[in-house]
Amino acid sequence: MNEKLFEIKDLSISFKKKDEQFFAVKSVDFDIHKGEIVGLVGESGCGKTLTGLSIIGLTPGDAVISGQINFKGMNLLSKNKEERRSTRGKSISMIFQEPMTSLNPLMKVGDQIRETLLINMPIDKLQAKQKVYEIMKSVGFADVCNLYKKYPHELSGGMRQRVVICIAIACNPDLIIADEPTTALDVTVQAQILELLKKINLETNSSILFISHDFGVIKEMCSQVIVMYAGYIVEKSCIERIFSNPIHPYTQALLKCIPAPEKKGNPLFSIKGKVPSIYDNSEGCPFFNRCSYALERCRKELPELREYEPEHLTRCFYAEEKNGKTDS
Amino acid sequence: MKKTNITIGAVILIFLLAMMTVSIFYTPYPVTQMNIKERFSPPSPKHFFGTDNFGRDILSRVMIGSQTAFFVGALAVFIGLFFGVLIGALSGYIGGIFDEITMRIMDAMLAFPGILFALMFVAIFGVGIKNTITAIGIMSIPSFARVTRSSYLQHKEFEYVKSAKAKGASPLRIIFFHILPNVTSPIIVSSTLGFARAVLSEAGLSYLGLGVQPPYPSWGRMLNESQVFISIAPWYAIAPGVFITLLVLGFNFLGDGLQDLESLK
Repeated sequence: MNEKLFEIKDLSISFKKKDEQFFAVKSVDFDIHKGEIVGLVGESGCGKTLTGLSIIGLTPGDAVISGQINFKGMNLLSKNKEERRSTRGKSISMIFQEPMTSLNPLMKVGDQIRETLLINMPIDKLQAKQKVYEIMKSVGFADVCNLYKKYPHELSGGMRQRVVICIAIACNPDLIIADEPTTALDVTVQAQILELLKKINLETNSSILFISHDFGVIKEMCSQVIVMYAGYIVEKSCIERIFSNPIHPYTQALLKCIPAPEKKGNPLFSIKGKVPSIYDNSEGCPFFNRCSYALERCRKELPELREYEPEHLTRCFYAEEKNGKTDS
Repeated sequence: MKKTNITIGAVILIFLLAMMTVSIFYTPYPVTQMNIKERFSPPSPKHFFGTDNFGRDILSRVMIGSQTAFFVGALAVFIGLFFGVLIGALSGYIGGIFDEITMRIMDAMLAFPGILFALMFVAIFGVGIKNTITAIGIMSIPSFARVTRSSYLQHKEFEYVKSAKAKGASPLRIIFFHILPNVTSPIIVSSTLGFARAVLSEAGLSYLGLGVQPPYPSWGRMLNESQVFISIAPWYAIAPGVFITLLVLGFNFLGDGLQDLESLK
């Protein structure tokens, strides 16, 4: 296993409303190793994006964060604003979901890529421009001189997302946080972008935290998978184990939602109900209402994240009991 | 519909600007030339707008007066824009207690009648074109600040700002380099309307004798001087009055038209 790059320990993010605290992310632990692509899966509103934002330091101003995010021997959360800003773009960068809106509409795309270099590196404008050309070529752009001068509205969605990727990889960051980078794109372009991200991961050895709600995409990309539900990690393992032996009912349900040729003719599976609001402070397992294996115990108590088999953790009483039975 | 507003406004303003430009090089008569024999002569081919109580040509004086109007308007808007945009941008982007404090100050300024403030300002610092401009400029800060702030409040949540932050851009860079170019259109609209307000304030102050002083001719002061003779020489009041109206109307039409265009987007 490669060296450990990021160590996220007991990360909780909460919001205060009328003197009560509401947790959007609760006791999240995971590591990101060098060169690894880690997938973060879950429905909308499960705290995936917030987890990503907390690593890069862009959580909303009213969010209260506790825990540790250790990077190169330092806890990022204990650093001041200036120090955090200096890691952004340089060591940690981010690809946003909407390529249509994540570029400044009034700046040439080349200048937007160059800006990242100028902010984060001791480099003069001309050198930076040359570097931008190289970066643009590396993501598969041709005619880069012409493209440099284009404005975002002149480019298609896929091209814009590539420009966004250029910005993200410009300074050779240790970690790229990709927040649903292909959700807004059509399927063929999606495949190209995923290929590109994989290529970047291989060539530059940058780690990627890949946030998605689509297990199909995760399967293509990641080596480690973390399944989040209502702010909790419910299951965590390597990609093979998650697919061959999903334990948590939520993971199982999500996997059933992937369309596949052999399911042709049957209605696509969907999980009933919706993710509880973060303002819902009820006890017990957050998945209780939607779970088909729910036990009486699940209503009152919150299961712990336990190791089910080596390197495979899950947070479920049902799994524990089943496992307990098979053990005895 | 929207295009008509802009066209009308632009035509009026181009006409007035042309008149101002011409007046720099040429007026039918020297602006201070008196001619007692021809005092109070009604409009005629010789004196297009007639003459005043000293026999001075009103057309020439109105032409020169347009320089004052544009000059005062432009400088006052510049002062208002500079400080208004600065305050609005910072308080909109930074928010929190800084926003609260600056916006309450702006509210207080808005609550204070503009002309009263200008009177006070001129009373303290003395009468003169510089003080008139400064007073009108300061008066217009709150409205620019509010427009800018509301645009910033909206834009700071936009994705492109987030991605600028993710690049490691400093707050100042984001405020002035990323957001400012994106919020110019509402600011331009409010500056055209602000220009109209400034011209009107200048005319009002000059009418009260507290604005632009001789030898600078001013439409407001011409109105003031003509008042005494309104029964015997109504044309003396009509000419500057019509031009003040035209200028204000021109800017308002342009501003409204631009606003409609902006809201269409």
